[in-house]
Amino acid sequence: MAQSLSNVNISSGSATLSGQTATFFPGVLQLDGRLTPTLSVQQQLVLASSRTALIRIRFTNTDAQDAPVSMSFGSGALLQAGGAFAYATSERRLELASPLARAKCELLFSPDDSPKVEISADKRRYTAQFQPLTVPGNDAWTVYFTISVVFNDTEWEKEQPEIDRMFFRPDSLFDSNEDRW
Amino acid sequence: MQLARFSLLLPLLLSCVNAALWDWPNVLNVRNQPSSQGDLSVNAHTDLGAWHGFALPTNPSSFGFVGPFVHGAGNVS
Repeated sequence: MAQSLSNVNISSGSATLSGQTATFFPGVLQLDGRLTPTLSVQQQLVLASSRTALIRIRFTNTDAQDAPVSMSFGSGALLQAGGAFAYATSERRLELASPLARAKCELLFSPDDSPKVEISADKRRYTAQFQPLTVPGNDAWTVYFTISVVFNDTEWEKEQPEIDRMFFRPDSLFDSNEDRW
Repeated sequence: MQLARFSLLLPLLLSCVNAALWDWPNVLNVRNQPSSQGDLSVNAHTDLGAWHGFALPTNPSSFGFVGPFVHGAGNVS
């Protein structure tokens, strides 16, 4: 059964995600959840180009105390169902090649806060584990990543500078998407 | 008479202009759980001429978008 290429696992201390909701707004896919009464998380996806989806995960802490967060991405069971996948990893980047199309997943953190991510993969699944994060009290913390679907190396070479531009001002792309829709 | 009609329509027109996309949740159903990689019966959100799209999870405990789903090919994941 096919699932998600990028299922997000989040916890804060002993608290796990609860109360998840999934909403489709015109031009935006949105997931919301809550870790504690004062710590919420929102994940939004927009198509930022014809090849790349831009995803924003934002933690909002309404408590005065800092909140520790553990976060990882994983492919779940879907790669098992999909059979053999080729993969390559580097710091902040995971590349998958499927029999149907090649999907490239690239991770990048907020420029002002750069915890490392450790990516491990085999032919059936992958995990991207973030270093422990801290959401400052009465503040928010945001991370962005992209998922690109390309069919050959030429497309990927053309898309790479576009992705660099997306990460340079990611919030403006969400704003322009909202304006366009 | 025309002024009266315009006065009646103006609030409606302004409400349309001011409408934000956040005022239109779940107008389309894009919750999907493809049964396999080759399952083409997926309602997915796509945009900007992309050949792929994503969907919302049907599993309430999932916190990831379903996909990418490639038109004419199936699910990458």
